Amino acid sequence: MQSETLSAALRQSGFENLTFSTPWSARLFGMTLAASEKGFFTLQQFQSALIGRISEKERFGCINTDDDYYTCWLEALQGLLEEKNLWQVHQLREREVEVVEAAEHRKEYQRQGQYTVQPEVVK
Amino acid sequence: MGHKHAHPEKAWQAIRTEAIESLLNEINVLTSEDIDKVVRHYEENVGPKTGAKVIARAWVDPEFKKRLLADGLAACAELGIGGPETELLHVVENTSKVHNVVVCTLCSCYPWPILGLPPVWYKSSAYRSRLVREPRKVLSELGVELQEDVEIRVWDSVSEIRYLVMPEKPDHAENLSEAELAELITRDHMIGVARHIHQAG
Repeated sequence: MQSETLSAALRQSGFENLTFSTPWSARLFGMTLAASEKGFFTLQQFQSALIGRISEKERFGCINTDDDYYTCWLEALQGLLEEKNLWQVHQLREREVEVVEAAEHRKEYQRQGQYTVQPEVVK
Repeated sequence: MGHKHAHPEKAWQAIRTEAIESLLNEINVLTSEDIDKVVRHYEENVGPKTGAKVIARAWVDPEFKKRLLADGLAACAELGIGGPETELLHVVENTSKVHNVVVCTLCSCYPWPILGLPPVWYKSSAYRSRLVREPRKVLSELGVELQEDVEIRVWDSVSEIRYLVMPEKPDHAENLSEAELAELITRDHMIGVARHIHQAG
């Protein structure tokens, strides 16, 4: 842990002013608060789960980036939701495959020029 | 490169997050609108300006300041500020002989409703582990040079108690309005990684 790390991090002002550095971390954050508002777990329970993931991660390394941090967050949320047996393990895996395929499909569609870039109406 | 079935370009975390959201939608636990609402609120409405308003009020209104130091959440509620995320908000006051700074050693507890979301470095292992061990050094690296006789108090946030630093009101600020004072207060002042209040002009 070099002494530059902290000052360097502070100076990254572009990064600083972003609320969320990736779209997935924003969705994750939103899902967590929304699920706790609906009573699936309390924020304290989530906090404990997050602390658990972070200390696990820090046994082997450090949290240096927002991605490191929100990865722990993701694992904590996933763990809490899976305790509620909301889905079977294989369902999540299948859904992940579908997500990847859908993204590929969208890209393919764009490559084939199916989307036309033009204004809907010009008056 | 070049092979037909390219590796997915999305990060695995993005894929899993999207898959979980889609499952939650499907079993009617959460709608995407529920999630949008939270994200939009945090992106648009919540941020350090909220905390700055609270501090500026305390600077101009000694009675409010007393209430704020006694019970942070209740005093914030007077200004219509608050949220379900914090149980106790403890406001700690800087003086000429005391400097307060906030950390969360276990994860990244932070007064969300008042300061918005924490900056990236606040969540880093480096800040979380080093601030407690060598606060004077870390603060100096962050540009806060303190005289030897200034005591540093490091506050470790937990999920039930969050801390907010009240910086010292700058001298010669009598002519400034409450709103102008609020403009001078930054997020870093309220975490305690900045001390001096810079006045424009």
